[in-house]
Amino acid sequence: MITLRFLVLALGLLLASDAIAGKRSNTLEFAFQRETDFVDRIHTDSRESSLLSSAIYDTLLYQDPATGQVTGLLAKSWTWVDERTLDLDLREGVKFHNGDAFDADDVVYTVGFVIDPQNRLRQQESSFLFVKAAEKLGSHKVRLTLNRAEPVAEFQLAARFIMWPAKYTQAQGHMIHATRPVGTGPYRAREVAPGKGITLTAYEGYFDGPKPKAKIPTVNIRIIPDLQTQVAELMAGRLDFAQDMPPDQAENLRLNPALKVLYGDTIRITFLSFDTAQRAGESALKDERVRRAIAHAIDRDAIANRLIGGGSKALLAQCHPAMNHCAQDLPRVAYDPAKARELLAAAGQSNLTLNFAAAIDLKTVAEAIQGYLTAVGIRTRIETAPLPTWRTNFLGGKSQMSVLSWGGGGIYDTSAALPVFFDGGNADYARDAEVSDWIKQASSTMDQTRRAQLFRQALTRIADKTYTVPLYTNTANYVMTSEVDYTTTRVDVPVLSQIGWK
Amino acid sequence: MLRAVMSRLVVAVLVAVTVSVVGFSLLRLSGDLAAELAGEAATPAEIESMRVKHGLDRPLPLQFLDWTRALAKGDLGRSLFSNEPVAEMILQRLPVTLQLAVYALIVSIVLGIPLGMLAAMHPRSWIDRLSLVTAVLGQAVPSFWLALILIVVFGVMLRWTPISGSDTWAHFILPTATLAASALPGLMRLTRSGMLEALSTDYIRTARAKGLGERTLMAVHALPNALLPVLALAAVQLGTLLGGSVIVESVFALDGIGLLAYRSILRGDFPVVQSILIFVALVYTLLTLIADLANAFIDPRIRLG
Repeated sequence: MITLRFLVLALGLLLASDAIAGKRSNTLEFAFQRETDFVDRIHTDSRESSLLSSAIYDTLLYQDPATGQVTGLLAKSWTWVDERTLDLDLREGVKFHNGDAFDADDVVYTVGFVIDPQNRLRQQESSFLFVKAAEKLGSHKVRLTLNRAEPVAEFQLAARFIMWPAKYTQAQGHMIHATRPVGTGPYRAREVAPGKGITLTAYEGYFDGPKPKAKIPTVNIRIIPDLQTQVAELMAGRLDFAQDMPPDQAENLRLNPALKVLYGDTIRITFLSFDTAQRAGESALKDERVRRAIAHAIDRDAIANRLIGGGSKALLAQCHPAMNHCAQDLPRVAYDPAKARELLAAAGQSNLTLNFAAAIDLKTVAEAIQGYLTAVGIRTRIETAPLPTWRTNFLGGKSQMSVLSWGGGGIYDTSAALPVFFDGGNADYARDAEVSDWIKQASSTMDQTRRAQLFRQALTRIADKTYTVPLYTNTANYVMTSEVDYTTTRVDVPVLSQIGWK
Repeated sequence: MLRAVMSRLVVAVLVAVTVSVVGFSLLRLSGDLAAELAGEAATPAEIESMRVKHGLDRPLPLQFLDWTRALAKGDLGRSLFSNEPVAEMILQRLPVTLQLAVYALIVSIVLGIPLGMLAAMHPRSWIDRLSLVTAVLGQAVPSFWLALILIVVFGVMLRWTPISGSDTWAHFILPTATLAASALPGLMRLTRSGMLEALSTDYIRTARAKGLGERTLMAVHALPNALLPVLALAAVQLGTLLGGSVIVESVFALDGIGLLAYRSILRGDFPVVQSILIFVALVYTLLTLIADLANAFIDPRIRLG
C-alpha cells in the first residue's frame, strides 16, 4: 500500500513538475486568449500587439497610462514650429536589443516605412498618414512635416509610432519583426513561437525614462484560447495573470484567497444606435419622440452597476468622460418609464415592434434593454450574430436599432469617438450635415477652445435629437495570483513592465 | 481491384472539391473579410484599401478560381492576417495534431478491443453492461465538458497533470483521454458484435468440439475474423480524430491544426481554412481507401466480390 502511494505521488510530481508559476520561479506566466499576428503595432493593431509593442518597442512619445498625459520617450522633447511642423529632440545613449545605437536615421527610416502607401498597413490612413515626411536635422534631431493639422498628433505619436532599428530591418526585411522583433523597450523577445506563445526577458540596458524598467526577469506569454482553461491554470498555480474574464466568473474567482481580481477603466463605450435616417427602411425611429421614449425607458445606471459592474459608469454623452472635450454637463435623460409611455402614446406608437441587432458578445446587454422596452410596450426582435456579420450588416445600412461598443483606437480625445458615426459614411445613421461639419472642423483645428466648443455643439445636438443612447463605460478585469503586484491604469492594456512581485 | 482504387481516388478529389467550395462559400457569407482585416477602428476608406490589397473586391468565383489555380501549382497561399505561408503554418502545427490523434487511437484500440472481447465472452453480464454504459457515455458526453471535468479533477484538484500546452508528453494525457473517449465506444462495440458473430459460427463450434482451449479459440480463430471491420473503423477513426480535435485543442491550448482552423474560421482567413479543410478531407478519404484495401487484402471475399 505504501509502495502504491509512493508510486502515485512520484507520478504526480513527475507529471506536474513543469511550468510552475509565481514569485518562486521569478517568471510571470501570462495568458493571452488570442494569438497575435504580429508583436508590433506597425503591422497590426490589437490589444495583444499593443501590450507586446509597449514591452518590446518604444514610441517617440509616451502616454502615461495612469494620467493620460503625453510625455517624451524616445523623443525627450518636442516643439511645434507651426501647426504642420514638429521638431523632435531624440534621447541619446539609447540602444536597441541587438546593440545598434538609436538615432535620427532609425526615425527617418521607420516613419518613411509607415507613411508609404505601398505598404498598405492596417488603419494606415487614420494612424500614420497625417505625417507627410520625416527629415533628419541632426544625429538626434528630426522634423516631422504633417499633411494636415492634426490635433491628436501627440496621442498618435505615442500610440503606433514604435521605432524599428533601420539597419537590422533593412537587412532582414520588415517581416522579421513578426518572428525576431528588435526594439528598445524594457523587454526583449527571447522566443516567438507561433500558436504557442512568446517569451520575454528583461532588457538590462533599458534607459531611465517615463516607462518603467522591467521588474520581473522573465515573462512567459501563453496562448490559452479557452477562458475556463485559464481559470483552471490560475487555480492550479500555473498561471499568474489573466484578463477579460466574464464578470460572473471574475466574481467567483474573487472568493479564492490565492487570487485577486482588479477592475480597470477602459476607453471603450457602449451605446444604442437608431436608424434616424431610415437607411434600413421606414420605421417609427424616424420620430424623435420614439427615440426619446426608448432613452427614458432604459435604466442605464442599473445596467452599468448590476449587469456590467467593475466600476462601469452610465454615460452622459456619446464619448468617454476621460476623453478630451467630452462634455459632461449635458442634460441627463432620466430613467422614466411613465414618460416613455407618454411619448410613445403622443407619437401614436403604443403597439411598436422593432428589430434590434447586436454582436454575440453584447447579447446579455441587448436582452436587458429588451426587458426595459417590453415594460413600456415596445416589442423587439433581437438578432444576434458574430461580430464580423453584425458589422457587415451595420455598415451596410441594415440596422434599425443596434447596441454596439466602440474603443476609438485608444485615443483619449472626442475626435476618436464621434467622426465614424457622424461623418455621412457607412456607420452614420443620423445623417445630420451640421453635426458632421462641426465634428469635421473640431477634428482638424489645433485651437483647443474652438474644438471644445464644436464638440459641445455636436454632442448637444446628438443628445437633443437622441440620435443615440449612450449607455455605459466598459471595464476590463485582471485576475492574478495574490503574489502579483499591479495597479490598474486608465488604459485597458496592462503595461508588462509595471507588473512585479509583492 | 484497380478499378476500385481509381473510383476511390475520383471520390477523394470530388470530396476535396465539394468541401472547398462549401467551405469557401460559408466563410465568405459570414461577414466582410476586408472589415475584419482592416480592424475595428478602421475608416470605410481603410476597409476599401484592404479589399483592394487582398483582391477581395473581385467577383467571388474569380477569387476561388485564383486560389484553386495556385493550389494546383502546390501553392497554398499566405494567411491574410499574418502573411505567413499557409503550408508552413500547417506543417508547423501538424505534429501536435498527429501526435494527439495517434495517441487517442492507440488508447482507444488498447482499451476498446479487450473490453469488446470481454463483453462478447460474457454477454449480458455486468462486464457487458458496463461496456455498454461506457460506450453510451463516451459518445453522449460532449468533449468540452469531459475535458473540463478532467482538468478540474487531474489538473486542479490532484495537480497530477499539466492543463494546457504541448511542451511535454504529459501535456497530452488529458487531451488524449478526452479524444479517446469519443473514439473508444465505436471500436469496443464493433469488436463485441464481431466477436459475438464469430463465436456463433460453425468453425468455432467445430474447433471447440475438437477440444481447443478457450484462449486459443479466441485469439487464433475468433478475433482475427472479428477484427476485420474494427480495422476499417480504426483507420476511419484516425481521420475523424485528426479533423475532430478542434474543441480538444482549443480547451487544452494545443497548437495543432484544429486550433489553427478554429481561429482562422472565426476571422474568415480563407486561405488557411480552405487548405486545412482540403487537407483533412484528403487524409480522411485516403484513410478510408487504405482501410478498404487492407480489408480486401485480408479478406478474399471482399477482394473477389
